[in-house]
Amino acid sequence: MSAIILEGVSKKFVLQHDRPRSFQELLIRTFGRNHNRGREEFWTLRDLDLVVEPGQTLGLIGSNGTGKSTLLKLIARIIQPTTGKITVNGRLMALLELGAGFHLDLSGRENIFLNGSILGLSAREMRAHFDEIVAFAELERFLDMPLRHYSSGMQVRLGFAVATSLNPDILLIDEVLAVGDEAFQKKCVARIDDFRRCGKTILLVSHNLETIKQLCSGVLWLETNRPAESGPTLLIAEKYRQHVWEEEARKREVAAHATCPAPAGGSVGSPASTTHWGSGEMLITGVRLLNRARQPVHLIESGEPLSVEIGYRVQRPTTSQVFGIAIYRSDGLWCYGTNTALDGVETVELAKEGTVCLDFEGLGLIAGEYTLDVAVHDSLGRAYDYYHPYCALAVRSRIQDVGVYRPAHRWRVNEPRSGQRKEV
Amino acid sequence: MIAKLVELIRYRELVRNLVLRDLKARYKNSVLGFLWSLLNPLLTMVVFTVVFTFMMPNTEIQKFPVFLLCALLPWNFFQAALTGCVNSIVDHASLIKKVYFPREALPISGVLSNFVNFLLALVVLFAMLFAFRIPLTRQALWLPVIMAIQVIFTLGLGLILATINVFYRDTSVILGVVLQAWFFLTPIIYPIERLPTESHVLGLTLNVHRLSYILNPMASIVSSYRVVLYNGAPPALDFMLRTLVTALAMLFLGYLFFSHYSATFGEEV
Repeated sequence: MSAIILEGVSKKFVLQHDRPRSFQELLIRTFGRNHNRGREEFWTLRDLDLVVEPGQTLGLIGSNGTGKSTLLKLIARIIQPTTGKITVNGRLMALLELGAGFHLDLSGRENIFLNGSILGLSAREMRAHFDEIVAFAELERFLDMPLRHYSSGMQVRLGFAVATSLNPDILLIDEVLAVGDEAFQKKCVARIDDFRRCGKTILLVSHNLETIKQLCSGVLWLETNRPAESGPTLLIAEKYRQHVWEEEARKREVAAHATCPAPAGGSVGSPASTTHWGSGEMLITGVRLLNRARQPVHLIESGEPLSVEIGYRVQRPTTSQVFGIAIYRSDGLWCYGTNTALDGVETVELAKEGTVCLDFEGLGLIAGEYTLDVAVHDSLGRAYDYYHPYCALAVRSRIQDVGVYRPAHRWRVNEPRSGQRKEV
Repeated sequence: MIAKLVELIRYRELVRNLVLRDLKARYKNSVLGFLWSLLNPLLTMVVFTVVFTFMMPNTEIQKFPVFLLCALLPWNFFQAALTGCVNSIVDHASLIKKVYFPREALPISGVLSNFVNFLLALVVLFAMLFAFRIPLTRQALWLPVIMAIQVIFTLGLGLILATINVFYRDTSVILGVVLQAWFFLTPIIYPIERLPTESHVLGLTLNVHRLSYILNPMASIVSSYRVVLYNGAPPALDFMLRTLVTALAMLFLGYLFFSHYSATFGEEV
């Protein structure tokens, strides 16, 4: 018997901007004249079929507002589906909020019983698990103190301890892991891991793909304007990551186009605080960041090739011209800078108008937000035209390494040490 | 519906804990907690006694303070229970949005915690009976039956009001006004016998005394308390029975109404 079965489940929300919220409004509405009934319908879930087998840990991922929480609420019977049928076999515990119904004037002890009964535990079960709850929450000393004097972390700990004290067959978890201090979070994850090993069915909503990967055997991906997709964790998580990047890249392009440079001076670029100076013998008319396929981008994956194409125009003849760029991390760290003079590139016989292109074969920046300065100046460093910064560049990575940049590298394990290598 | 009732029984611990929470929260913050809750009816009693024995002397009613208190305490229970019920769903919005449990637990606990208060307040009533040397007769044994009828009626009405308040938030405000009118329409500060059996309104002859009994279940309930405690007389059984039927019908309707809409509470509150 499957633990959770959803058959053609849809949920429609109706936003009635105009629905009277009180008798007073109702009265005014009845005798008043304007009757424009603002009704807005939207479907959060559409014809969703899902079968969760006992013992499965299913992760729910998707952008905001795609119905992940709605789905959990439907399964927990907090709201009713518009169409379709939901069957749940087994005792269910929904952790949508920790410490639901806590009362600040009551002591920790009293709240344990109150919260437990709200979650549907009997007095006998509560008494049987009481010590375990207190121990897990690490609140022995504060048990008879009113909850008012607890820190928010302590309250959350108590809530989690109560909610997971009893062994439900099915556990629904909605991002509640993102609370408490580091140590307690580890404890929470460990407890969920225990549940998993005990063969409980778990549905987990999280935006943290790492948590999902760590805990879930399968993933359901909900997205607006595309059918829900489920499958093995690694496959779906990767697809989802790809989708998020594409979406972000698309949005950045739109944003960049909306704000982008009036060439030759004036205000520039996506970063709000661009400054721009120079004597004006030469002007930067536009800069494009191009990916491998020569498509303009503002988001790349770490290690991908990137080209910076600088458009210029000569206003008055000059004796020397040096083009340069600099990359800054969002916290202001100067990650890299170079120019044509430092790299020994000749730029003497320039056309009056043209482009200079800088190619990175693989830009190994660590994932993060960066900005790019672009400048053209003379050999002594006096700026003709200097943009600080010119545009933003986001770097995403599927590897969670740290630092500033990623040198090309590889690991070798259990190979004979170099130098002692025997010739074959 | 049977399944729902069974589930409610499974959650009886919740009702119990909610009642305990209400009571503890009410009495915890003030040392005088319990006494404080008795002060209100006592003060009301004093005020009405001053008005009706000194300012508008009424020799007809003996031992006015007891006469009044017999009806005032049940009415206060009724009023507090309804006021508690009407907001019970809306006040627990965050809970309803996040946890599933039988929603009826909230209005039920609202009525029951006020019922416990009422029982505690009865101590004062019995003290007054003793002080005014009104003997308790065997008729006082009817008290639990009358209380049961009142709880049933109040809960039925409370379920309906709690539901309406989810959709129209000023229900609680309107209730306040209605309760005030209802207080004066119910024989609390006057004996029901005072109501005329023949009254001419707009050319119609009305038996106000009888109408009051028929149209206002609280009139029957409040008078019954007074009959068995103050008068020490047996209650009129046919009236009691009719009131019981009314109360049960009210609870049935209220429960149907509430369960019909409670599925949408998760989105509406």
